[in-house]
Amino acid sequence: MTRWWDPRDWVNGERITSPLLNKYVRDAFRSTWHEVSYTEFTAPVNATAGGADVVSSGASTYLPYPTVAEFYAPGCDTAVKLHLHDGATDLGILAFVSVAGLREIVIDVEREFTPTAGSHTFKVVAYGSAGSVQAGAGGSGVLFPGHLRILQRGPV
Amino acid sequence: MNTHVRDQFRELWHEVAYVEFTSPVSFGTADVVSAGAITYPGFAIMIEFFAPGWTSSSTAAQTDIRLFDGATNLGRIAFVAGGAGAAAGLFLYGRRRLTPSAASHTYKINAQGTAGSTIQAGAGGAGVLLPGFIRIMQKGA
Repeated sequence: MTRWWDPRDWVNGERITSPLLNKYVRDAFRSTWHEVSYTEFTAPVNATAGGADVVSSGASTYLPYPTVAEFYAPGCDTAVKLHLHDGATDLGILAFVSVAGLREIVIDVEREFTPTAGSHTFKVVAYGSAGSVQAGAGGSGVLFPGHLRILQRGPV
Repeated sequence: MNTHVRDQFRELWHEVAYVEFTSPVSFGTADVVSAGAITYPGFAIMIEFFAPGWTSSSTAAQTDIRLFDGATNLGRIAFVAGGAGAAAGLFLYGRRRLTPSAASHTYKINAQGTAGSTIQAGAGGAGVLLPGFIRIMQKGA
């Protein structure tokens, strides 16, 4: 049995039926990922014991399909814990680095999950007693912006 | 068809460049890897950089990983500093999303490191570091 991802060559005069469209268009698109939101931050954020917001995706309405939250910061002091939040709900620690002697690292991490159908506001929050998440506006000698990018599988 | 095929394709990302590097780059200022000259249509792109290792032989060592478009320094894509000796190491991965002008661009990664810092990469194989790379994804047709 052929599946939608099996290579298929269409031929001249071939009749395009609904089963073929369902398999090679509908099902193919359901497997792809698209960008729901992309939000940058351009200034350092100091971690706090109670948590400091680093960047928010803003509110978007989601379908209950697999979703990836992708977070990047060009620099981050070690011993800062980066949590992924959905609004006020702490979903967990997305990244935590603590290496003796290391002072600064680049952070690029992602988390896949399936949200409920409805509106969600995802954000990254920095916890810690010291240290900061670094970012800038870019340009010669300047750190690039960090970002939170949300991707979702399925129809746009 | 416009809604369910054309517009869906416009939301997809595809790879326009993938170039590996397989040798370490020591401290100093040096190009690490270039995507080569590519003509872009003016859609959003994501530039990814990966190196399987960064090592430091000094707590004072640090490296700036910089993104260039030709001779233009666009900014610092990654900054690492510190380390407790020759065994200290970590991998590097960073990415930058931007929308280039509709024209030819040559994106490359350039490193500026202090003494004791090295960006690591290899040819892969048992016990050998894998290659590092620059990869460019583009949204749209």
